[in-house]
Amino acid sequence: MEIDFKAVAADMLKAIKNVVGDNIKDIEDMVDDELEDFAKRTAILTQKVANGDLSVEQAKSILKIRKNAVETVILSAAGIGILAAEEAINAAIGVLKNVILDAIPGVSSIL
Amino acid sequence: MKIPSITKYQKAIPFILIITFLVSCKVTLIAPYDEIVDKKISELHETLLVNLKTWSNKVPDYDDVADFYDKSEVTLEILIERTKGVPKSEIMTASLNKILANIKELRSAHQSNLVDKNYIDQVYPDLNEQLGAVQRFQMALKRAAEN
Repeated sequence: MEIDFKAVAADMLKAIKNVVGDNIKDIEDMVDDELEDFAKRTAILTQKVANGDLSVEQAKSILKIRKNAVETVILSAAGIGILAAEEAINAAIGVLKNVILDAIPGVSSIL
Repeated sequence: MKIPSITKYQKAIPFILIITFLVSCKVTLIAPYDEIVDKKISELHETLLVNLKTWSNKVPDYDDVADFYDKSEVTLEILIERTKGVPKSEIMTASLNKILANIKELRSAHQSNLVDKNYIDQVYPDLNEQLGAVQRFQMALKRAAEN
């Protein structure tokens, strides 16, 4: 059986795009919206300190918590990104595996 | 002695073996979904937000709620120990450490009488988004495990 390597490569790329596309949306939603919220709240925080609604000590504590929260959001986004890469690689390998199963009868027993 | 000639099919055998080996592997770049971490973080998320919502009306004395901080810190310390033992779980371990640091900071602020309605209004969404991000990551891992 002849293997059309161009078609296989195109199918592998399509599998990668499908997987990455789903995950990229999750990452964009998480990072875009939440980082904007953090920035808005920090602007409000400076106003509240200026107005005397919050003390400098309170603001320092809030900013420590905010910094850890921002870092966690970024870490989670990075984790989802790595997961997307893992799924994309395995999807591409899956395409190749199916091609080999079709091309070499009997090979399924060792895959 | 006559050496038999290598046919084109025999030449292809190493190539086929390499490809066969490659496609039989599953690439793992990150630790898999952990149901215990997901469940415990979900519980902590709810307890923390319910407490903050209640405290924004009237902040309790630290001694009356010290138990909440103790339990939360112990839960996170156990989860950190659990994930530290799993290969490729550095991101989850680091995230849990950041949550633990925030529970400790909140405790410290409470002990220093810094916690009031304005303080809670500021940290409530931070802590909500922090724990929510970890849960979203766990949900992505769960979805990947199910596919």
